[in-house]
Formats: sequence, structure tokens, C-alpha cells
Amino acid sequence: MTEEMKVPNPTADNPFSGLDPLIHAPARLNIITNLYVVESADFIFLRNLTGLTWGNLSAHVSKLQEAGYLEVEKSIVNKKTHSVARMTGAGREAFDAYKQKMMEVLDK
Amino acid sequence: MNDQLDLKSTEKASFKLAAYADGINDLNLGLILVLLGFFPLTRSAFGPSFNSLFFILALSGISIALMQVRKRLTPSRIGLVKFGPSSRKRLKVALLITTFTLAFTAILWGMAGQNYFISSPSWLSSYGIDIFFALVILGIFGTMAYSLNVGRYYLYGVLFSAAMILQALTPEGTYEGIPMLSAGVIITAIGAYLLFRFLKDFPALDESQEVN
Repeated sequence: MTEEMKVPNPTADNPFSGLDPLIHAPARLNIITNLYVVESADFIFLRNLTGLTWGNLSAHVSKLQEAGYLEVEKSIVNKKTHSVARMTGAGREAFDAYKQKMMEVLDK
Repeated sequence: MNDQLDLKSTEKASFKLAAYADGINDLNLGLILVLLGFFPLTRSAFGPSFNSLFFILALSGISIALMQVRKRLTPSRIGLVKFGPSSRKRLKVALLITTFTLAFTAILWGMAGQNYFISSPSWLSSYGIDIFFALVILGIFGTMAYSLNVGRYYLYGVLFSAAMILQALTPEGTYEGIPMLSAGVIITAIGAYLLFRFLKDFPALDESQEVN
């Protein structure tokens, strides 16, 4: 009798596979967590809180914006660009789902 | 970067950075106490009515000047943040409780001035309200220090309340403003140091030059 060899399926076996990859990346998780607890924050405030470089911050915010999780309002204040980011309803729902999933995974 | 996904701590960190990093609140409190320290001196110089007017004008002047300083220095260094409705509601409740407690204490103080507590023990009728007020101050600053994780507010509470009791114990006309003045000078010095450190640690940032 030949024993059927079980081939591991990395996607199915990985408990973290159900986590939203857009949120799960550390830098984006940092941005989204800081925006989740406030109504809105400008880029300077986010940069101070997250410790990210301008380039990183801008790139990750753009990704979250493309996904519809954040909206960014740009304006000119004293001849300088001023960007204010806030989480959308979809972003809050996605983060709530992420938290729920993360707690489920960690409680297993 | 935060190591833990703790939303309450994250919110506190945001509030702490937005409200307490620049030392302006410390300077404001310190200068108010300095003003209170001069209160007995100005009272004898201006008389009670003009002294109250002077006090209100000086208090408004200090607060407006410091608000202008904050407006010019802080947003370009730490940015702007708007807190959500739940945070604002919690802040309003805290302010309401503080206002109610202070108003209640002021009424008690007024009643004591009118000898309502004539049957109370002599130390209570003499210093009871001051002790009560000092405890209220200690409670308010202790709560702020604990809930916002701003340790120096414990020290401010102790300094303010101790100065209040010492001022009450010092006979009138014998430098009774010195304890409050000393507390004010210490807190102002801490505020000035924090402002200096803030200017050093948080350079003005220009998003348009950095991002693009």
C-alpha cells in the first residue's frame, strides 16, 4: 500500500494569508493605524508619528489611496503644498476586518 | 514605529504630540501661576476691582500671545491633526467635569468668605476651602498626567496645590505670593526648556520641497 504524500499548500496553511496585504505591510499598517484614531491628519503630522521618509510616506499613502482606503486633499497654504489624509468608510471597514482577522489568527 | 497595535496608545500619542510637545501649555500654566504670585502685590497697588481687571487682561494677553506663538511655530513642525467625534466628546466631558468642579469649589470658597462654615473647626473654616481646592487641583493634574501619560503634570499638580496651601498659610502682607511665584517660575522654566527642545527636535518641514 502506498502512502499518499501530502503536499503542503503554503497559501491554505498560512493563517496570515487571509489578511489584507495592502494593510498588512508594516509601513502602511503604521499609517492606517494612526489615521484610524483621528479624523484627519496632514502629511507632516503623519511623518512625525510614523517616522517614515517623505518618499516612503507618499508612496504608501498613494497605494492606500488607489485602493480607496484613504482620501487625500491637497491645497496650497502660504504658497506651499499642504496634503491632508483621512480614512474613507471603505478604509475603516477594511481595517476593522483586518483587526478581526488578526485577532482570530492570534487566538488560534 | 509602534511595536504594538494598540489603538488607545496610538490615539494618546497623537494627542500628546499635538497638544504637549511644544511646551506652550506648560508656559501658559507657568505664567498664570507667576501672575497669581503677583496678585497680592498688584491688589495692594491697584485695589481689588482694578486688580481683577488687570488680572483678566494680563491672563488674556498671555493666552493670546502664546496662541500666536503656537500658530506660528507648531503647524510647520509637527503638522495638523483633527480628532474624531468620540475624542472630542471625551474632551468636552472632561472639560465639563473640570468646570463643574471648579465652579463648585468657587461657590464653596465664596460661602466660606461669607462665614457659612462658622460652626466648623477653626482650621477648616480658615483653610478648609484652600485644602479642598488644592486637592481638586491635584486630582485634575493627576488625572491629566495619568490619562495622557504626561508625567510632568504630576509635578505641576503638586507644585500648584502646595503653593496654594502655603499661600493660604502665609499671613497677608508677608510675601504670600512667593510660593505661587516660585511654582510658576519652575513650571515656566520647564515650559521654556520644552519649547527650546521642541524647536531643536522638530525642524520646520516643507512638504512641497520634500515630496516632489
